[in-house]
Amino acid sequence: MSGGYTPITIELSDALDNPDRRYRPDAGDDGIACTVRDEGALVGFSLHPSARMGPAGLRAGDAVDDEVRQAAICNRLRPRVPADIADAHKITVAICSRNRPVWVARLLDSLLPLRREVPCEVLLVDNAPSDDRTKDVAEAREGVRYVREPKAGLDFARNRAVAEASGRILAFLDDDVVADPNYLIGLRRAWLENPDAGAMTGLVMPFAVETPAQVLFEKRGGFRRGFRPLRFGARRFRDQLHPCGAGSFGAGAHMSFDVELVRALGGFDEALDTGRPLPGGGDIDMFYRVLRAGRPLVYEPQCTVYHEHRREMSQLRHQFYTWGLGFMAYIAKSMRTDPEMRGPMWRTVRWWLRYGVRLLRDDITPFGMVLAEFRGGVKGFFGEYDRSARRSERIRREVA
Amino acid sequence: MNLEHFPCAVVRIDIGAPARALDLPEGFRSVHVVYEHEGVPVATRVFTAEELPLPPTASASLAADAVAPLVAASGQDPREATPASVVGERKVAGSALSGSASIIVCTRDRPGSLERCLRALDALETPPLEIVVVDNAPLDGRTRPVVERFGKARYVAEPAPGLSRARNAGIAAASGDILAFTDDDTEVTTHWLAMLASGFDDPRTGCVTGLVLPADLSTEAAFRFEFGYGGLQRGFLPQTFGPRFLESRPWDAPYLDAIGAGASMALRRAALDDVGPFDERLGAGAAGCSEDTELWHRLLLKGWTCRYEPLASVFHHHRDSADALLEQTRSYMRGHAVALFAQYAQSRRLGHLGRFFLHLPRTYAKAGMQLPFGNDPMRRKFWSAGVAGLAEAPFYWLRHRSSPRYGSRRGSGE
Repeated sequence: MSGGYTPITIELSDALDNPDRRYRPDAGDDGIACTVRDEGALVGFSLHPSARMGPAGLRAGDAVDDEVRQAAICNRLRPRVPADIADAHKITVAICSRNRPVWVARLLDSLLPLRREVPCEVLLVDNAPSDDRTKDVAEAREGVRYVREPKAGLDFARNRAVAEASGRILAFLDDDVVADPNYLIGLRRAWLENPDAGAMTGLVMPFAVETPAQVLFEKRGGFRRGFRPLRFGARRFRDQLHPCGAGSFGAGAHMSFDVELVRALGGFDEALDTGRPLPGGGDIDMFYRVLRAGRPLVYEPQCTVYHEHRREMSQLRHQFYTWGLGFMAYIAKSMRTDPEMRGPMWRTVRWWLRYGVRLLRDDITPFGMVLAEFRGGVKGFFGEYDRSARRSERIRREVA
Repeated sequence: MNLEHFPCAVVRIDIGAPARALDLPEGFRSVHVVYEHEGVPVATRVFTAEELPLPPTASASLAADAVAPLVAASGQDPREATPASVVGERKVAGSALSGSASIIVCTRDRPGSLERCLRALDALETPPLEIVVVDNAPLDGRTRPVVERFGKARYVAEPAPGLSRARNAGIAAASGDILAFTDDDTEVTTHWLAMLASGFDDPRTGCVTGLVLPADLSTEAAFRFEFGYGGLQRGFLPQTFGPRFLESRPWDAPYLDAIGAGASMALRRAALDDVGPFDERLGAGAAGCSEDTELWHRLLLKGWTCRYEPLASVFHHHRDSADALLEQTRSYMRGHAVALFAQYAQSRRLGHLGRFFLHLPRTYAKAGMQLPFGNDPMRRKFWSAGVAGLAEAPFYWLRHRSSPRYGSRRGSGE
């Protein structure tokens, strides 16, 4: 195997006590993907290419930089959440999937045991499946509620979950993630800490960094939003783009909501995120609407999932394309539905173009990827939302 | 300048106390939070009205996030470091030294403001050797009775106007090995002196500066000064500026303002004896300002270092009227430019002239081209005030360059 990074986990205490200990990548690997934990809490992740480490490998002390120290200190200073109010919010975890039973099984096997500590409802929304394999996965396990959503499209499935959920907190997990043991505890903690929140996202770590496409994705920062908690309102001091650049709030692969709020907002926009060939953007659209409704959005790093990034460059290129497509479709839609925010939305478009130029200049992102995102963005901005709305209308009619 | 979050309330939160909800005070549209440990500010953060209220638990978590950079920068073991341990360590380092420090406050016809300043100095946890109040060219006798009300404070008159002259009179009258300066429009925090003194544990340190926080942001002028013009905050990471800092920008003047502000600084007397006191052609009442940066420049030239110690903080009452702020902008730019000439005369480094003849004109030309597109009517006024200040500078310099730099007059202290 070549091009991959060897995953290692360093305990902060070990690195501080033995800073000169060395870690070497496995034979054939191009570097080390280093996770730092502090007594279980995730406090750092960094990629170390062999070319920069030299033959001696990674020095433990070098994995503990200022950001890791800050994250560890922040985490230790944060107040502990009392465990005796465990039932303050009933939680429903919804998994929306389509024809990927193997991944669903993997996710369920990581998630279900966590319920011993934090009870919750697990809802599996099987989205227009071509067979019963996903259903079989659900039935082979105890305590999984299986629902079939005949209309193909991620936001149809999400809205089905919104309608079916019995909890007050509705958490979504994509089927290509695996839950960390801290997932439910972190989820509960974030909602106890922020009882007024409307939405919450969490840390998304790479499941593996084995192929050049996965390395590239992580070098660009991956889905991570840091190892310190964040809290957003409808306005941010000295941030003219906020809350339009909703991509910085987290990823749809790992998000949760106050379900009553989502119902009041009319659910997810089914013209966005309807799955190939329709655009994405349903998650950022919802984040934006939550913030515009005056409810906070929080990011909790100690609530973690591992995401299986695309393995092939061609898949990654397509993902770049859909990011551009979905983001710009969301911008075009919001300009129409929220005229008050047109100024910041235009500024966001300008920011997005500049960001594209920045990507071209860095030596990480290949030209083809930037071009794909740009192509998607142009298509998304010009009429994609309407095209997509017509397509989702057709899906609705076909099923009915 | 964006005023959508004006007015802003300044709220101090004790991170050691049980967590409380953070609400938006009535009539305000944002909150500048100062997180404190035992009265020592350790972090700040601005919340907009739309981000509030914060539930107690969320508030506590965000406080932990806000103080993390300062605690991490202390170099203490991250498994044990807390704001308490960091503040405690600096306090211990400084307490022994603060007994040999004189505090010098220069004032001019602001007895109310001075009284507030002296009250804060009176509440310092570690008392100084003495407090010297220099009454600079007063119009009347209101200042002396205020000073006499505080037992520790000593009154010194300096009839010749100018902040540099007043400070030099204070230096002559004071007897401490460390000379700590603050202005009459500040309120020091309770460990201010110990924290400043802690920076002198290194014998090469010639000057220690501290953090200057806004005391109040409810007036438009103060809000503009703090957020539109950068204010005086220099963050919560300690820094050391050595002689190499002067070479950081070969075609431009070193950005000496990064070192701190004269409203919160202490000087080592030995260093002052080495490089000379404040340049009396500079500073308020003369060229306008930059008497502090020019002195730091001389210290660095002679091989001394300057340290920025964020835990030594004062709250500063900014100008509260637009006219005063405009006047300040003008005299600031004039003083800054005159200081550049003085620094060039001292060091013969072309960067100082480069800043005046290349960088500043370019910055103002760029800003001038943006003027028609802004929707802030004040911007044009501030731009004009800055340009006027710059234009006056060469004439001021030509007229005063052969005036004595210091020692023209001695304070008539008693």
